[in-house]
Amino acid sequence: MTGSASQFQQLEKLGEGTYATVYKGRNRATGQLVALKEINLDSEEGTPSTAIREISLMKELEYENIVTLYDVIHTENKLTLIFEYMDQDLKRYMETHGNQGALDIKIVKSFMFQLLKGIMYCHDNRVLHRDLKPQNLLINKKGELKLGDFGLARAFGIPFNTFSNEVVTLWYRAPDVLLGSRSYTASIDIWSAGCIFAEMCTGKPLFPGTANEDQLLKIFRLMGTPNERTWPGVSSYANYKSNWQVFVPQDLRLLIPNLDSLGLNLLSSLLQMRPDARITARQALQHPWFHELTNPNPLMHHLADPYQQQQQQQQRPQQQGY
Amino acid sequence: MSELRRDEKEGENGNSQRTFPSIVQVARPFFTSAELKHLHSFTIPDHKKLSYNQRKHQIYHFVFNIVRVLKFPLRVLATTMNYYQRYYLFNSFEEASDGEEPDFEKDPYTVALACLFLAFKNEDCIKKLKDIQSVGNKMREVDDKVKVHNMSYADAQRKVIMHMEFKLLQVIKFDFKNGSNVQSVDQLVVKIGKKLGIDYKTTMFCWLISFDIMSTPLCLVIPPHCIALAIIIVSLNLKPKDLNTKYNKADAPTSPEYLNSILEKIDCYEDFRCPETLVNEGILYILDYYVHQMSFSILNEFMPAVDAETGKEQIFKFMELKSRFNDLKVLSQKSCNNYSILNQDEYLKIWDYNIGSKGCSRFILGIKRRRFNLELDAVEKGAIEDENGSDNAEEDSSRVVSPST
Repeated sequence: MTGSASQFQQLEKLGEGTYATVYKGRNRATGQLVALKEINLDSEEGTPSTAIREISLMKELEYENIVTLYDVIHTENKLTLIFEYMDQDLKRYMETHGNQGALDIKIVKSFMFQLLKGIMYCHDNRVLHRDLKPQNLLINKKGELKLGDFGLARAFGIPFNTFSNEVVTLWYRAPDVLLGSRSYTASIDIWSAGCIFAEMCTGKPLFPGTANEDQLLKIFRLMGTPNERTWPGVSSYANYKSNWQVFVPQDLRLLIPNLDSLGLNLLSSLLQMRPDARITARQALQHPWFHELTNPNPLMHHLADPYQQQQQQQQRPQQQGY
Repeated sequence: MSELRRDEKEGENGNSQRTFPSIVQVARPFFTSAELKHLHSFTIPDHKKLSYNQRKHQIYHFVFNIVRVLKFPLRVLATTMNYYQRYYLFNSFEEASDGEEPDFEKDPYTVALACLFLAFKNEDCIKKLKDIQSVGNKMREVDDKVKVHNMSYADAQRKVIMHMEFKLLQVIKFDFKNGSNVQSVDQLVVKIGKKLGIDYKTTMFCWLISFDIMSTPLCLVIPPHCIALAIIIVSLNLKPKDLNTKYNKADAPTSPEYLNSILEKIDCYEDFRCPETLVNEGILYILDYYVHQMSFSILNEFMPAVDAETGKEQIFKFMELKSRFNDLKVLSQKSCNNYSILNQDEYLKIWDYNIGSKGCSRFILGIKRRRFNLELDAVEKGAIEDENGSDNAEEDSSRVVSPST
């Protein structure tokens, strides 16, 4: 039991993941609520590499739209990660607050803005999340959205080509990854953001595929079957087939009638089939659809270049360390 | 950075006050040379210094070959070497005896495999432990099917590696990046070289130095970007001309004046966020290394024995440069240059692995200190209340005491 000896009291179970069990917890000294992620140690492979990646990457990420990792606790041959407490994930939020899952467009806009800010911060810090889905986006009572679960994240910018193509939950997986690309970049998180955007508007997953091929066909049915003309180089992907049924691109408006045309424009910029045609998180945040959020107050200052700001902040204490 | 050791009481509102040993730590990824010496005085006795160093080189060769066989990038090797040296800051160096049953706990090769195992995970180059073991054991011509301690060699070894991984996590205080979030030195020298417009040959020279320096404890003293910049500055000063490399890229030879002009323009802090004293520390370390170990270095194999320009052995160029750099301002060690000060430093004590298994070790990740201060205030407030309210402040940490009012 984590609670007894430590600073943190263990409360009810919140959920169970592949390599960890998450409990609600409370800091005995301050009364602050936390999430305790208890890591299951593997008898063959020791500490899961996902836990190591998560600690290693999240230590560097300190941002309002990223769940904070506070501490690592070691008790009785067990590891527990102490995270900032969040009330629920986006999936549950949609189930409980939505109209059959569909959220009010105002809320969608606020969540999308925060999601893209979190993504931009990761990408600025050379981190790919790789597993964005409603279950990994956490919401608190203040209406703040934060990215969580960095178990599959990795640092990019390092040319090393053995990415496993078994990441990103199928439904939110980008077509280039489904086609077998192993050199994917920040654009895969952007595709996932697009899928989540649509799902928040309709309450239903956009592409609920059952297997790799089915996932691709679900995407093609809406976005159109790619060919060399619409996507130069598509035929050289490992999983490309020349005999796919040919679908023509559909109008997103029919699928999401409650979204205005600016919003639809943003959605289609996120859901570009070609990875290099997808907009970046920074560009997306400057999209006119967000103007009502960004213009009334000078929030855009935050978007200037958080990477540089953060570097300067990090540099100072580092210097004092000596 | 500070850490504190205190006892905590179980239960709230003063109920069932059994106390547990507990420790809170913040990673301190870098040490001054005085601190390193102090730590080694506990873990490597004087008469074992030589064998520690010899063994280290054998081990590094061993690790290098595993990384090469598995075709993993050099940064995995650099991280492994870093972890290996860190391990022996807090754990005694012992040699396995040649007895019948191998004693894995003491075996530096097993330590190396554990370091490699963790480095693989951290660098996102996932490999099954079994595969790492089998490559390593084959290389050492160890039959890992043979029975030891009533199980196969491989199984017994794996058990110990897992245990060591846990130890290692505590030694590095869960700071996987070793205090910096930049790339490894070998990648950085190439990047900085490109940025500054340094020619292929000089960059190659830098890269060879980075390969040599990777195996030294310099990575425990200053962060990678400062090491990389120190290497660049040393190379620009030496202006290597004759380097025997396999791939001689035919770019026009760069004039010494051009290299000088690059050197002139470097601003350690403005351009590379490297505090100058740290870079200086690196420069002197690198020059010292070559003055003392030139004949064992990798760089030496790529240079002609005699420098064409001066007609002297290569080592003299390094000695000459070192004499020019004699007055560089380096780190002040005033705060840690004598035993009594060092001895007061809790962080530099031999780490008690039992705390975690009996009580609790809490590793706070450095940048969230603000939150920690709040907590500390609360704890202090609580302690004062405790003192006023009860009399068990001095109780032995393992004793069960009755609830008090």
